Amino acid sequence: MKGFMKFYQWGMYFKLHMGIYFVALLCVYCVVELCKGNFEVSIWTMLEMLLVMMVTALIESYIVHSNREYSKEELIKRSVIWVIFMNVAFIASSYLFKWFEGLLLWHYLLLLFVLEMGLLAMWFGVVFVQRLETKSLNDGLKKYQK
Amino acid sequence: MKITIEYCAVEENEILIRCPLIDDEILHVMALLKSHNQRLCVLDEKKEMIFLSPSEVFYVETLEDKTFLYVEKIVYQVSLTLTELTSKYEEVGFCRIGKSVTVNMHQIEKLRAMQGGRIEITLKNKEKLIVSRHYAALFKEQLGI
Repeated sequence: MKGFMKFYQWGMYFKLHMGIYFVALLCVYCVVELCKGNFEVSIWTMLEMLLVMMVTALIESYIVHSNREYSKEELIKRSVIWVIFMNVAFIASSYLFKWFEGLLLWHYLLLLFVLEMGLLAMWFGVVFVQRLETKSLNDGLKKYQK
Repeated sequence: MKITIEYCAVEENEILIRCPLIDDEILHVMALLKSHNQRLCVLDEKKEMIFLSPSEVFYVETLEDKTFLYVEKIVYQVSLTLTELTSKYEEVGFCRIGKSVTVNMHQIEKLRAMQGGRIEITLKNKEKLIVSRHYAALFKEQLGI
C-alpha cells in the first residue's frame, strides 16, 4: 500500500508539472501563430507538445523533486542539471518538431528570454517558496514547543 | 515566567501559581500539570491494561474502527475515539492532521512543506507523517502561523 501511495504521489507530481509545461508551451505557440496571422492549432502539434512535456516532466521528477530533501550542495548541483536539461528539452523539441519555424533572430531571442523567465518562476515555486515555508513552519514549531 | 521551588516539610507536594490573570502561558502550564496527572488507560499486545501519560504519545491513528496509540516503538490500543482523544488532550498538544491521524505536537522533530499544501512531519522517533491539505490550515493555526 505504501509503495502504491508513493507511486501515486509521484504520478500526481509529474502530471501536474507536465500540465504546467504543456499549457505554457501551447500559450506561447498560440501567441506566435496569432502574430503570424494563423488562427488554428493542429491537434497533432498539441499531441506532440503533450508527449514531449510528459517525457520532460518525467525526467525532471528524477532530477529535482520538491517533495525530496536535498542538502545545499546537492540542491545547487541538481538545479544546474535541471536548468541545462530543461533548456535542452524545450529548445531541442521545438527545433525537432518545427514548432517555431520561420521567425527572425530577435523573435528567437525573445522566446529564449520567455523560456528562461518561465524556468526561473518554476524553480522559485518548486524550490525556493517551499524552503521558505519549511523555515516558517519549523520556527512556529520551536515557538510552540517552548 | 519565574520558577521558584520552595523546600519545606509538607505532607503533600503542592504547586501554587501566582499571576495577575490567567493568560495563554498559565493555561499551558495548567494543561501540562493536568496531563502529568492524567493517565490514559490502554491495552498492549497481550491485552494487558497499562496507564500512559498523554505526553508520551507520539501519534494516534484509527484503523478499522479501532484507535491505536503509538509510543516511540510500541503500539497500544485505546477505547476512546480519535475525536475524543484529540479534544481531550488538545491543550497538551494533540492536533488532528488527517481523517484518521492525530499527532502530539511535542513529539515532532521537524516539519517540511510539500507541494499541494501538504506538510511532512518527522517525529522524534524518525517516523514520518503527512498533514493533509484539509488539515494543514488548522495545523498552522495551532503553530501560530
